Amino acid sequence: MKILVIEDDVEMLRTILRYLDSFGFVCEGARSFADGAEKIGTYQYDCIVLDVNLTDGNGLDLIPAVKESQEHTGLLILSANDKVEDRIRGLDEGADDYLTKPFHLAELNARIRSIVRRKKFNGSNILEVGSLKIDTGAQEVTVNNEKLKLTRKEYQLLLFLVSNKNKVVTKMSISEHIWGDYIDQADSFDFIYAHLKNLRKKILEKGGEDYIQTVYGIGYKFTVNEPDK
Amino acid sequence: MSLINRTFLIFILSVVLVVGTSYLVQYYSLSNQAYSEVRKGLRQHRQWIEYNYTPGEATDTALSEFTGYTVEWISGPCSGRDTFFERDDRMFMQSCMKFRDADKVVSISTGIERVHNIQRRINFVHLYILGALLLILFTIKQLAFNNIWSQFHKSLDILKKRELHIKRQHFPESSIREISELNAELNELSAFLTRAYQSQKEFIENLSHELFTPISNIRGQLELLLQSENLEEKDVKLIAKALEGLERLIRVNRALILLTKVENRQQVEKQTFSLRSVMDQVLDMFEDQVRVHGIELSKSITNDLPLHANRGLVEILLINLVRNSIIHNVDNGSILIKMEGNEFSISNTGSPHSLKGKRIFKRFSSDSEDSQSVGLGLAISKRICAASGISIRYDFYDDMHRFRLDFGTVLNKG
Repeated sequence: MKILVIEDDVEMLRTILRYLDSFGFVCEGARSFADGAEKIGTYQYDCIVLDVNLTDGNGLDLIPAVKESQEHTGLLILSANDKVEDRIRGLDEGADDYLTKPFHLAELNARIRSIVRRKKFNGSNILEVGSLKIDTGAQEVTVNNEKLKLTRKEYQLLLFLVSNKNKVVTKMSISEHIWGDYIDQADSFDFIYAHLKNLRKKILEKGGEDYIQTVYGIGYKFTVNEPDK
Repeated sequence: MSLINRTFLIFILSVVLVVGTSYLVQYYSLSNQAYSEVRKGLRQHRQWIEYNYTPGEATDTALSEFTGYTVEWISGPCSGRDTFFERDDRMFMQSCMKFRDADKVVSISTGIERVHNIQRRINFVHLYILGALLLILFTIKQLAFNNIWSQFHKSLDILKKRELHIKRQHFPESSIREISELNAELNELSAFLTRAYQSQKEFIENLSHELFTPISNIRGQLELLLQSENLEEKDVKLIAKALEGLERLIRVNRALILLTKVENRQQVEKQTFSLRSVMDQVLDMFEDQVRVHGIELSKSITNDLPLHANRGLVEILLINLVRNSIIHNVDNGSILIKMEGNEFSISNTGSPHSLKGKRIFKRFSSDSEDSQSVGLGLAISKRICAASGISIRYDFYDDMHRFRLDFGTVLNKG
């Protein structure tokens, strides 16, 4: 998978690229509007992550160029302030999703994967990890070809962890992913624990392995030793 | 009392005082003078009788025929002094006259219509003057009110909108110097406030951008660090602490930006929606949290409220209130949500004391020790209410903390 990240803050760009790189994605960074425009015109990408506030231009003005030269490319807009106008304009002009800074790396990664799935496979894509098969179109999970009965939140949780497999995913990022900003986080950590317990149990019952590790109280990790398919 | 009415009242009182004094002075001095002339005439006539009258002659009636005076003899004891009295438009004088054979009491009287005419004339003239002055005053007041004060009220109406800082207001020039000066100053003030307000807005926007970038970076870098292979448990715990602190920073920042946004009255687009749908959506969000604390949530809904307002803001408002009612609740407590008439109310069990009335809606005024609650929720709720025209009240009722929202002004009447 080939990803272009257009972000003028060098530190941010480096952090994002390092995180995405570690999944084996082919990642490129552009540090300015001009740089981004040049790369868009030259190469094909599966997904472009675009910061709205660039020093030499408004990131939203790059959307037409992307639409023109890269028909099947997913587009994710990043903005520092949650301006409703930016979001509306971005989505109107054809961006696929929108993420507000500050964001969790795990969230960014999950969004990118979701966009690419939608763009490439019309939303139906089978993810295979270990003995698990996740059909993101039908939102169904099977273990050793046996269907798992998951609640909506268990499914969201599993998909989020699988998207960030072999990474430590913090409880805060899980909480924000599933419940948004508003819930009391201390409480949400208990829910995460409860949902995960059920999820593990259901996977184990069908003969799956225990993929989900707890990491010193900070978060969880979906561990599977195989390359990305 | 308005300035114009107070001025008017002072004028009326002065006019009444001046006209009244003049009336009293004239009435009494002129009447006294007239009466004393009448009395003088009566005494002169008595002297005339003394000279020209001889008792026994039958000329009694003749004594009064040519002079306008009527003379009667009254039998009775003589008293030393002359007495005067008034009856039926006539002035009477009774006086003792000494004759050689006997003393006689004479009653001399004369008509005093003249005196009464004078008094009536004084009454009439003063009533006329008073009426005319009041009429003139009233006319002046009306004219002044319409012309002078209407200009003043025009400026006042602009001020009352309380939008001096949002956009430059125009206070018109006036033919009256004072109002012209006032309006010129107000124009300056509005320009100044608009600039200050604008730069404050820009400052906060810039601040949020400037803060978000480093915060984003720190969080990203810590999350990357967390992926390192060789971390020991104590390292991970340090990172966890740092991330928690950062989380709190992010929450405060986000809340402050929202507060500023609401205060700036952005997001004013309105939609038509049902309050019940928003409420159900919000309650769904908190479903897990309510269950985990064993809170009993009951709803008493008499009628839905169709609203015409900004849905996003109303949603944040309800989220804050519901969130509050959970955070400040006790385990196995209860929450009661009511919708009736124009009112939505949410009550919850919690600390057994009423919250401090005015302070609760202020920023960072949190009674709880809970580090998660930023203490901005109610301030935001209050601002949203103020910006949307919803009234919000707090009371401690039936051992429950209750927040009541009156949606009367934002109902969809279509």
